Amino acid sequence: MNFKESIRLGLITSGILIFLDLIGLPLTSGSAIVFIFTIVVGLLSFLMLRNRNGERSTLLNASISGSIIGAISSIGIVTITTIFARLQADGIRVNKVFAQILPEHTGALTGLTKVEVLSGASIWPGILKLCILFIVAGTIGGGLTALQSDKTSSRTKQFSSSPYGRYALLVLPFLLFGSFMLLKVEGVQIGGEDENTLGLLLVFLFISTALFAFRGARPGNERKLISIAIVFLILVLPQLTDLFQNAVLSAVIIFVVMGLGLNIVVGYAGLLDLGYVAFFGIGAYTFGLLSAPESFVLVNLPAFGGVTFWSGLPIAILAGVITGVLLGIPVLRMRGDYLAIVTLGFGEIIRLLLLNLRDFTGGPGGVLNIPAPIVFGVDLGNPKGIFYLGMLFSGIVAFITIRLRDSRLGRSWIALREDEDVARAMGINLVAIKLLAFATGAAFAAAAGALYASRQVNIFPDNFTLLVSIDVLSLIIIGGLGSIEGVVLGSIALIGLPEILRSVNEYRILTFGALLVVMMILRPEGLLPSARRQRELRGEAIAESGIASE
Amino acid sequence: MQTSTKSASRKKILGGIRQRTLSRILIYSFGIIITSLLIWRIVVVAEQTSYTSQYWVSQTINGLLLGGVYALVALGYTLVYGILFMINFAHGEVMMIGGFAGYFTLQIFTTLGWTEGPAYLAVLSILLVIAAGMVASVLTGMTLERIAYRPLRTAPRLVPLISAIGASFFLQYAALRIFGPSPVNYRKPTLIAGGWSLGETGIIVTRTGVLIAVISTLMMIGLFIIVRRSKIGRAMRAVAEDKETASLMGIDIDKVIAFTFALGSALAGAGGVMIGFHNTLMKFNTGFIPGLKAFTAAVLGGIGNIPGAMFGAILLGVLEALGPSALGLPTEYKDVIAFSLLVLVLIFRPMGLLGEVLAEEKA
Repeated sequence: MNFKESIRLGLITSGILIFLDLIGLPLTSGSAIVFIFTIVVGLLSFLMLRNRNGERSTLLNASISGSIIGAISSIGIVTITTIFARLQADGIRVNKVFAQILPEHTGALTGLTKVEVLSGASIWPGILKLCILFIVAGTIGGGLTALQSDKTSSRTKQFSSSPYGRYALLVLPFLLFGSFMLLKVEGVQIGGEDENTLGLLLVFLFISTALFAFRGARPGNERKLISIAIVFLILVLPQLTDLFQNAVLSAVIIFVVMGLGLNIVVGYAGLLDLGYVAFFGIGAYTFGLLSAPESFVLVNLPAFGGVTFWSGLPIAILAGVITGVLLGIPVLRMRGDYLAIVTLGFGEIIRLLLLNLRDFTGGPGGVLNIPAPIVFGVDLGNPKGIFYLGMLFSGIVAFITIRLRDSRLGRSWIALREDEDVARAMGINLVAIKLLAFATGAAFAAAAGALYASRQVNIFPDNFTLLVSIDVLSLIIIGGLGSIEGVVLGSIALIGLPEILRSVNEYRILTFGALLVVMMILRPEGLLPSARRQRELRGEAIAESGIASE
Repeated sequence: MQTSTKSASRKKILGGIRQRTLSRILIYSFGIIITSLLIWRIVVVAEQTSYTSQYWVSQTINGLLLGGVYALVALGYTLVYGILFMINFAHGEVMMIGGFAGYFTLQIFTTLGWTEGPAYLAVLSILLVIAAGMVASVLTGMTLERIAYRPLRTAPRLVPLISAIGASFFLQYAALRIFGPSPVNYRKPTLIAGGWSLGETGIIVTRTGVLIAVISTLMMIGLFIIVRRSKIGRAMRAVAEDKETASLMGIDIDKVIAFTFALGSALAGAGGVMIGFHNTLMKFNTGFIPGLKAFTAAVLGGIGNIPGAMFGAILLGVLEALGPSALGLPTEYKDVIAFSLLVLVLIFRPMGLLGEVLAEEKA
C-alpha cells in the first residue's frame, strides 16, 4: 500500500468528478446522479489500482487504498457543492458563471428540492451520504483488484474462440431480432411508453451483433448462410419499424454512405480530410438547386421536363467529383497534418460561400421544397423510402469499396498510406491515386448529400458545418479505419444511439472528442478493425502471442 | 536487347523529369494567374472606392496588433512542432481556456474595485489577469500533453493527430457545457479603455492596442531569451534536433517536452486574455478560428522557426486587416483570405517565407 500514490489517484478522481459536476451531469440525470457518481468512483478506483506492474496487494491493503481514493475524491465535490449551495442560498445566481449550476443541480446532489436549496436548508445529510457512498465504492473497487485473478482475464479472451461462445455469437443477432418482433406482438407490453425506443435499441443491437456474427462465422457455407439470413432480415426490417424508428435509421444509413466514402480517403489512402462535409454539401446543394421549384438557378430545366431525383443524382455526383479533384490538386504535395488543416479550411470556405452567395444559394434561407425521389411511381419521400434507398446506396457503395480495395488501385492507396516515398519508389503514380481517392470519396459524399437533401426537403448552410465532418471522422475511427463493418457499427453507435438517449445528445460532441482520444490510446484500430490494420497496429503483440502459443 | 531496356528505362526517367517539370510549370502558371487576378481586382476596387489614407493607416495598425496576438499563439504551434513534429490541434482551445480564466480574474478585481482604483492597482490587476490566463493555459496544456499526446509518441503520425482533434473538440464542448453558450463580456478597466489620437491625422491608437503591443513584445523577448540563452532552452533545441542523442546526453525528454508545452501554453494563455481585451467577448469557440489562423501564421513564417512565426503572424494580421477592403469583399470573407493564404503558401513555398527549420521530407 502506498499512501502517496493513493492520495494522488484520489485527487485525479476528485478532478474527474468536479469536471462531471461542472458540465452539468447532475442536472441532466436528476437524483440518479448519486448512483452514477458512486459507480464512477468505484470503477475509477478499480481501474487505477488494477494495473500496478503485476504486483498483487492483499485484500486489506487494496481496500485501504480504495477507501483513501474514495475519501479524497469526495472532498472536492463536497467543497464545491457546499460553496455553490451557500451562494445559492444567498440568492446569488451561480449559473451566470457556471451555466449548469442551477439550484436543481445542487438539489440533485444533496437530495433536496429546488425550494429547499434556495431557502438554505441544511445540505449536510445529503453530503454525508455522498461521502459514505464514495468511500464504500472506493473500498469495494479497490478490494476487487485483490480478488481478481489472472485466470478470469484470459478466460474472457478465450470465450469467443471457444465453440460454444462462437455459436452463441452467431445466434445472438437472431435472438435480438426475435425479441424485437416480440415487441410487435399484440398484447405484449414491455417498456410502456418507451416501447418504440426500446424497439430501436433492439434493432441497433441486432445490426451490431450481426456484424460481429458475420466476422465470427467461418468463411464458406457458414458465413454465406449467416449473411443471407441477415440481409433478408435487414430488408424486411423497414416494414416492421415505425415512423420514428425509420427516421433515425435513415439518418444512420446516410452517415454509413458518407462514412464509406471517407473511409476510402482516410482509411485506405491515409489522407486525413477534415473538410469532407464540403462534398456532402455540394451534393445536397447541387441536387437541391436543380430540383427545387423556387430554386435560384436553372428553374427546373424545363427542356428536360424537370429534374427528378434520378436525373439530379448523377449531376450531383459529378459536381462532387469535380470539386473533389479541384480541391485535391492544391493539396497534392501536402502530408498529414497540413492536409488536415487545409481541408478543414476548404470545408469552412464552402460553407461560407453557401452562406454568403445569396443570389445563387439563397444564403441563410437555404433551398426549400426539394422533391422526393420516385421509383416506378412509388413516392420514396418518407423515412421508410429513404431508408430503403439508403440501403441501396450503401450496398452499391460498399460493393464498389470492396472491389476497389482488392484492386491494384486499392493496394496503391494502402501503399500510399504506409509510406509515400516508398510508394513512389515502387512506381505508383501518386498524383493519380491521390486524386482518385479524393474523387471517389467526394462522389460517395455527394450521393449521400443528394439523399440527405431529399430526406430533409429543406436544406440550409447550417446543415453542413464542420461538426458533420467530425461526426463522420469519429464514426469511421471508432468503428475501425478501413473496415466496412466498422463504418456501420460506428454510425449506429455515434449517430443512432444519441437519438435514443436524448439527454446524452447534449454531450454528443464532448463524448466524441473524449472517445477519439481514448480510442487512439487504447484501441487505435477501432472496434471492428479491418484485418490488415489490426495486424499493423497490433503486429508485435500478435507475433509474441503466436510465439507463446507455439 | 540490353540497350533497348536501357533506353526504355532512360525514357522512363526522362518521362519522370518531364512530369516534374510539367507540374512545376503548371504550378507557376497557376501562381501567375492568381497574382495577376489579385492585382487586377485590387486596381479595379481601388478605382471604385475611395478610402482615405487615414483609413489604411489605422487598418494597418489594427492588423499589426492582431498580428501580435496571433504571434503569441503561433509560437506555441511552432515550439511544439519543432520538437514533436506534430500539430497541437487543441492549441486554440488552450488559448480559449486562458481567456476564460482571465475573465474570471478580471471579474474578481472588478468586484474588489481594483481595476477602477489607483493606477498601480489597475496595472497590477491587469498583470494578474494575464498571469491567471497563463497559469490556466499552462495547466491545460500540460494535462493535455500528459493524457492525450505522451502515450502516443511512438504511434504512427495519424494517431496523435486524431487524438489532438478529439482533444480540441472535447475542450471546446466542455467549455460550452461549463460556461454556457452565451459569450462573456470582458469589461475593460478605464486605464486601457479609449485611445490616443495621433496629432492632427485623426488616426486613433487604442490603449488596449498599446497594451497588446507591449505585452506581446515582452513575451516574445522573454521566449527568445529562454530558448537561446537558458539551459532548458538548450535542452529543447537538442531534443528538437535528435531525441535519442539528447537522451543519451542526459536530457530528460519527457520533462523537456512538458516544458515546451508549458511555454507554448503560457504564451497562448496571454494571447487569450489579449483576444478577450481586443474583442471584449469570449465564447467557447473563440479559440478555434484564431487557433487556425495562428497555425496559418506559423506555416507562413516556416513552421518550427521562432522568428518566422512572429513575422508570419504580423504579416497575416496586416493582410487580414487590409485584405477585405483592398479586394472589395465583405468582412465575412476575412477568414477565407486567411485560409486561401495558407493554401497558397503550402503550394508555392511549403517551407514558409523564412524557411522551415526542418526539411520538407519530415513534414
